Amino acid sequence: MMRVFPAALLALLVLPGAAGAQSLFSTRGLGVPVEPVDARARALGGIGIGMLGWTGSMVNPAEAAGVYRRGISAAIQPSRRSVEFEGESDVLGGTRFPLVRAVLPFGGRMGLAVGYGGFLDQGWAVSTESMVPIGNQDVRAVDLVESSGGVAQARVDFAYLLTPSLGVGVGAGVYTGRLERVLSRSFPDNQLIEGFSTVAAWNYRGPSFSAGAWWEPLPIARVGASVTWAGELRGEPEEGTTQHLRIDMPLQFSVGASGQLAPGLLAVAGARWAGWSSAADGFGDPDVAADTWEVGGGVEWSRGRALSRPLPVRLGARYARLPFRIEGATPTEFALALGFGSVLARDEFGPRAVVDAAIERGRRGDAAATGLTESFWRLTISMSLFGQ
Amino acid sequence: MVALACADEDPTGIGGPLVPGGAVRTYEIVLEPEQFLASDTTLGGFVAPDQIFFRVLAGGYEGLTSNGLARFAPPPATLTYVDASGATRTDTMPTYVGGRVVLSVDTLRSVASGPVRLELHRIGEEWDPQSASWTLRVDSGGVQLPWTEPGGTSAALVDTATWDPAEGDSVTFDVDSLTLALWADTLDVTRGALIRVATPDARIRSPVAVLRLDARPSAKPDTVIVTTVGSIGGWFVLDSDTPAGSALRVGGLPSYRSYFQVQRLDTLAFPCPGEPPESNCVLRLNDVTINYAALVLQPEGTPGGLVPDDSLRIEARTVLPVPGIPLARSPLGSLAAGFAMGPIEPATFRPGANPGTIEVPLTRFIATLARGRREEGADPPPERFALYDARENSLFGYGTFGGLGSASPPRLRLIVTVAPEAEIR
Repeated sequence: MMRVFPAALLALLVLPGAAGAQSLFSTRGLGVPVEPVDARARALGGIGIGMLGWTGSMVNPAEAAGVYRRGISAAIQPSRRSVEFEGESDVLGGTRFPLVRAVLPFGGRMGLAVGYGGFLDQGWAVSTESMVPIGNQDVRAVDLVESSGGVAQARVDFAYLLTPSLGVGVGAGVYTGRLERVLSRSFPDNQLIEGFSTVAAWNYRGPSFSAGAWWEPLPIARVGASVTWAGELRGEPEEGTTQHLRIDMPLQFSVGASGQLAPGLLAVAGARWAGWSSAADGFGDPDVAADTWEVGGGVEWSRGRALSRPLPVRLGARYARLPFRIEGATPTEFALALGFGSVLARDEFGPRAVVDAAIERGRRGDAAATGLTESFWRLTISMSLFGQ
Repeated sequence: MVALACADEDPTGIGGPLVPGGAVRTYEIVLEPEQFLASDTTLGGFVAPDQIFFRVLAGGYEGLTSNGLARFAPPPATLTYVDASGATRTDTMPTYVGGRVVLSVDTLRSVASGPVRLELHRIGEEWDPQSASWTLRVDSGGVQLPWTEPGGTSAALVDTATWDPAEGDSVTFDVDSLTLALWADTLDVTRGALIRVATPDARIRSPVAVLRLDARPSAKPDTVIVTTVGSIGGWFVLDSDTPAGSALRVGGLPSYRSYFQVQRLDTLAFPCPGEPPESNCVLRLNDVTINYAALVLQPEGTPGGLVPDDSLRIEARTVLPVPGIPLARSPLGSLAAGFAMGPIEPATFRPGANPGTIEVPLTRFIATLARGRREEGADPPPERFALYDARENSLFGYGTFGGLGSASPPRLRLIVTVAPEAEIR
């Protein structure tokens, strides 16, 4: 038990967001969505709502209802991507920290949750080389554009257990974050010519409100739904730019359900719709963004064991459309997932420490439509710790 | 476009067309002197005679005449030697019966087409090793006494010797006992050696002159002990007037520095080179990033005898003017660029050489000036800079460049980069 705390604390100290070069699909608009879900949800289709059992995901504010122990969850998500664009290829890597969430139950019916999770990732870096004519000679120049940061979400949820089988919740939060874009040029063959570098940065701020519910009509079945309304996201220039962004953030609906098909076998399915076309006006281009659908599902076999411990095994699949278009086409993402879980420590009331992992193999983009494709391996590891 | 990186966390070399925003653009701008230069001037006298550690001797080499001076340390009053029994003894009454002045020659920095005849004289007038010049034997500020014979008054010819550049790197003069006795008298303010070159078309650089003394111990007069003393003052004097005209000079001896005052740059704007006029593209110097700035100078011929005897290594530093202090005494500040320029070969300055232009990097200085005064009340950036040789007291000769008013005045070459404002799209 003591050994799991340092790892969890480390994860908690790291703000949700992105690190390193992430995805060329982030070069458009506000980037690519980052779902604030844990590894169990990732392995079961990635929607993260309506699942029987504990979830640390931030999708549904009602999930805090019915939790009888205080707990905290955090996730880390390294990935490796093979990118192809117009006949050329490269390999990228990066790490995200998509989720930190704490839940505190009050009495027998109420629950309070505080979460900080990813929402949009704008991390990417592109380097190009060219010969620049200077006077009567051509000088080799290397241009580097580095974008880091994105939009995160912080939210406080209040949930209430209306009946032992019905929970409701509301949440209020803010979208926050910072985007920094560094543009530089160097002349590696000529030591006399100094380089060029300029930095532009924006700070993001915007409100969001969520409401949701879950219902267990049977002890072996659960359905859940949530809606998130977001106001205007303001991107205020911090340095190096005068662009003020005003983006109408999308209304989002998420629904999901799960049920025990057989003893130890759980099936999960869910979907999410987001009205991203509302964001297009903020960029002055109606074709820059489109509404998106995500669907996902999976099965969990919870009677697996290894090393004398329960070892749930999960399989899932996910299909999603990305909100910001590239070359006029809406990119899509499809991924298959394999996941595991393990209870590291437990007492007579249940688990004290749980670790979950999901590995996804997926693909983004359409070479014919956008000229850009990515295939990726994405690992998500999350840990949950529970109090007395 | 080339794929540059294939490792984790590195940028990708593909996807350039996906990058939002316009391209970075780099331009070259060359400013004519009237666009950036307020004034230029050359000042001399930055190296005092006592800061020189070599001698240049010439007897009319391409118009240059230069004589060597030396005041040697007195002979030692005691002498230590080993007698026939192997015991070490000290003699307090040695007799100096003769000696030799040995002049070493820097063969790489000397010019001679054949054997060179040199003369060693005793100096015949009171002189000051720290301040003597071609015309003045004493120039201590308050006292100025001229030589009767410019270049050093000879009392007597001591010896002549010939240096053959094909044979050796030193030349030796015999010194008689009378001369040694006169040079040993520390109360004699005339004591010293004058070395002249009698052969024209030769310029000799000598880093060291020593006096080797032949002594006989009083207790063992059949033995000759050789001891050596060095010079304690006096290097060389040359017959050279400051050239007239607008040319700029940078070099060691006679030491010259060129000073420049630059106009205000932060208000300058230029059409983007190579862009069509309808693009309305304008480069304002206080908006662009200056990647490179260099003063473009056209070398001109230096009078033959004063062509540098080694490569010229020009450095540029800001000048920090102090009210009431002459420009020549104003302190120099930081380097005008983050790096030094390469050496300039002496042949560049030979009359009729017709070399190309040279560039003196000034990137840091010009970039600071182009930014202008960013904060109210802040000190204005330095607007003057000086060019000088990095080895002012070890290089003989100077480089000459076209100045304001010449046919090839200084110009300023800039390489600047601009980028469009970043946007999220």
